[in-house]
Amino acid sequence: MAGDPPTKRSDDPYGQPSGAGQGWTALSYLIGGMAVWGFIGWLVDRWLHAGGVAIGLGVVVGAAGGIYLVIRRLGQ
Amino acid sequence: MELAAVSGSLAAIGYGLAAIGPGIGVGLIFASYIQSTARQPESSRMTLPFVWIGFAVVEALALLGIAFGFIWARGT
Amino acid sequence: MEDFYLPAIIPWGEHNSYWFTKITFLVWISVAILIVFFLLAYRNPKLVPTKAQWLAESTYGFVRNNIVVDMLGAGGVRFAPYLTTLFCFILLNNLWSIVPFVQISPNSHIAFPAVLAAISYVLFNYVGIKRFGFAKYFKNALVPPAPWFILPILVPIELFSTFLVRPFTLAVRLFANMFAGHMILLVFTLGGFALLNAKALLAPAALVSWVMAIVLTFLEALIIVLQAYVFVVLTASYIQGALAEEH
Repeated sequence: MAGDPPTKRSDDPYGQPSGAGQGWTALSYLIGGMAVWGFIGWLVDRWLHAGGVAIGLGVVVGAAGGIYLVIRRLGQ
Repeated sequence: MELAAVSGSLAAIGYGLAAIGPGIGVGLIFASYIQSTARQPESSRMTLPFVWIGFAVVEALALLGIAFGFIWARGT
Repeated sequence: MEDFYLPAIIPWGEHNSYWFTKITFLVWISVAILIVFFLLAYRNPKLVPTKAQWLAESTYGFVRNNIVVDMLGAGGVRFAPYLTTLFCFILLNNLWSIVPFVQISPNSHIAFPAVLAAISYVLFNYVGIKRFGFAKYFKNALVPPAPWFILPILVPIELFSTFLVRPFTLAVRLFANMFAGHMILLVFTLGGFALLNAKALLAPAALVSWVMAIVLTFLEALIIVLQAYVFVVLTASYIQGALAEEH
């Protein structure tokens, strides 16, 4: 039902990390995503001599990936 | 003829302006979470996932501001 | 900055004992205090506890009930002794930064937080691998529930965030807080002396500087306890994350 709290699986003795752990996880997914894909974008940039476009693209892809991960992991 | 020339780092000014929005946004998210928990404490567990989703999306803009500050500053 | 690089205490045989500095001595004292206190407090446990026994039980109870059972559930109590020891050790080491005449914390050298973070890193990975087996643990940790075509974007992020960022931030958080606290206290204390020696007219400014040093010492006391707590809470959270069944 739409209003129900998120259900815990009955066989899972450990649930989600609570509180501060979730905050640091969210921040680390965001920053980590941008760092990893920014680095990959920088490598692509050097390979293609694109002059900075690839880094920007990589950072945006990383940010999008980070947001998606936060929503999936912390939003259910 | 230049009417007004700005010297110094334009990227720094750009980042400063870009940080206003996400700052207000994150404040609004957590303010509304605190208020909703104060009105109905049982709902805190249900609304916590949305806090992290909202925080991720808003903070991504702030982090993109930092990243693009460096990218665009390389051009000058 | 020279304050951070201390000479060897034992001047004789300095070539062999260049490592025995004030910092090493402080760590040894912390360990000695911990061992002796907990051993003595539980030597003759009584039903109605003595003061030392009550203190020891309260410390263990605080970490066990408020951190371990909260994060890991009743099955996680087997981690409670390690987490209590970790909490007390970090707390004692941090406390040296506000004790008069000592005023340097071993945790303001990156080595000690780095090793503690490395131990926590090995611990949560080992516990996860032991529960799930090597391949399944990494599959759970690295592959989020997502459609297959965007997994290549997400897996590097998960890898970086779980296996690289976590131990690094654990260590750097503790180190930076202790280092910065020490620096701030140094600035205000030495600044007071500098103001006093520069011009006699600046004596009130020197007094303000010293009052700020006292105020910041109280703030430092709060940060000390908070950083020990946060380190242990995050370690418990990572262990919980490693042990959780995936979605």
